[in-house]
Amino acid sequence: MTASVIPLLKPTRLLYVMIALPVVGILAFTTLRPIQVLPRITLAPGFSLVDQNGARLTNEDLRGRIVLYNFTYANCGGACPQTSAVMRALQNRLGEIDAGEIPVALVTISFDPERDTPERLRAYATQVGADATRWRIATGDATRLKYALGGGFNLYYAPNPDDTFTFDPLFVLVDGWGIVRAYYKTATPATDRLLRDLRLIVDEARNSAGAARYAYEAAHVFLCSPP
Amino acid sequence: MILLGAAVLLVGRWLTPHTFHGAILQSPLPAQDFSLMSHVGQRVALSDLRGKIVLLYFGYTICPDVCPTTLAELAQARKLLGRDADQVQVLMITVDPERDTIPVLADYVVHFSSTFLGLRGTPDETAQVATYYGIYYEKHDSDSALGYLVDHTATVMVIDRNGYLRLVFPFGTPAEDMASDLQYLLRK
Amino acid sequence: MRLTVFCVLMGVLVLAACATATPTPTLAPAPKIAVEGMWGRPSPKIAQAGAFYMVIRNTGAAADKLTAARSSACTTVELHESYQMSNGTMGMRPVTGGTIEIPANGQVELKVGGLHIMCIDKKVEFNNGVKLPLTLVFAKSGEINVQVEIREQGM
Repeated sequence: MTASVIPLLKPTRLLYVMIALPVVGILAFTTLRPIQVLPRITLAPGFSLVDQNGARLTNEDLRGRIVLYNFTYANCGGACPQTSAVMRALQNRLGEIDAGEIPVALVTISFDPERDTPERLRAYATQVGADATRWRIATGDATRLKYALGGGFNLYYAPNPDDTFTFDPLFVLVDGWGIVRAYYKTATPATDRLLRDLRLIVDEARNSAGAARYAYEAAHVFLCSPP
Repeated sequence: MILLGAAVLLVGRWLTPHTFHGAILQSPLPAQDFSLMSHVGQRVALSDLRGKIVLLYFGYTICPDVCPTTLAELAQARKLLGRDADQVQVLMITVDPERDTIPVLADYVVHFSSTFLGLRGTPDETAQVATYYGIYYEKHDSDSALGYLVDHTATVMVIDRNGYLRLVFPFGTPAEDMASDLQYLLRK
Repeated sequence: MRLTVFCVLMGVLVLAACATATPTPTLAPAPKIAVEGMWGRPSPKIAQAGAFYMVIRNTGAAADKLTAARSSACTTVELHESYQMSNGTMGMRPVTGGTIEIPANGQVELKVGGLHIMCIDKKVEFNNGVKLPLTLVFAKSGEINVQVEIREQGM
């Protein structure tokens, strides 16, 4: 194929092409390089819960929003207040990302539906300073919760005889497609890190139309994830 | 000149990465296995289908608009693959196991393609599988003569030959687009 | 005398003519409905229901409403719509208010994933190539009979 192509090019044209190629390459590299994406890890589970105001909350209601989840129970002591402090700090700094048309939501799911009635979740919301428009606290049917949290989010939790729970700390970041983009297996992830990751998804969603989409999809194929 | 143009196009196609029509996933772990009763009267597990690409869809037979449309598109996408079609298995899991009994499912899925498999779990099994794959479904009463209707996530999940969740197609993805993505996965 | 009678009669006639003529410009505008592209997908025998799709055009100056439909091929015919709850979830429900508004000088498309006519408890098989009778009932334009072709999409 190449043998029949080369003779068609006059030497001057060939020279232009040879000069142009690396220039185009460098340009492409410098324009595409800033694109960083978080990996699309897996699908977030489906669920239907009831929140602190008795309203229904499903994974479908949250589609189109970027959601940071954490998991606890209202009666939790220990490191739990520090965890809710991370959520509150993030709630207060969400304005920095200026998501605009791509809203960001915080969701805390309780795995203690027996005790965590909507009233109790409301009291918990007040205690942790949750703004109901941004941060919803919800729970649901125990069996379905096991499927969604244990099977879906890979969360380990087990009840103890004294009405407390043993569980691994976990935060999960899910994009508007309902795809898990990051797991943070710590009780206190850094707010700056969470904000940076949220911003990456917001930028991706904002640029997912037009030509930039191709660059983003290429970034996913070659996985240009941030350090 | 024409030859040069053709060569540039060929090289260009070869250099540009395939652009997926669905959302691509980079799952580090194989998708959760499940085993459900199939319309042929045998249980089928996802893990039995290793070596094939699995297209997973959740629907129900009383749904006359969205579900037949998706299943017809899936049948068409498979046809577009030509002789590679054998390497693609379509599964429809019913989200209405109460009304979609095995005989009902059998007649229903085979209408779209004799190769499709209809799967039915107990309500609990269905909930577990659907939850894992991010499928929300809920019955709602209606004034319709059809009785209750079921709202459900209408995406199509693609599980690759090694059992990893690779792609998600939203409702309304044309057969050509799905076929193009599947072709790419089959070549890899 | 005769002349007077004649004149009076003429006057009455003219008035009568005027009386019938004058309202013409203010006569209530009427809808003008045309239905095209009627089709439905072949469906499994076991499937209880099948959907019909079409475009309803209104070239008249008044809006009309599709209030009902019936067919000898179906036990019940309902007006339904599929709705997208979000990116992925689809729901289906009988149309709100039970009618579909056809705007003046406009059209409504009954299409996959949107508004459609639902044939419930099919009495015949929806095989490729079959033509089914359908009567559309409009609030102002009355009944319009059409034929729905059973075929694959986009053919």
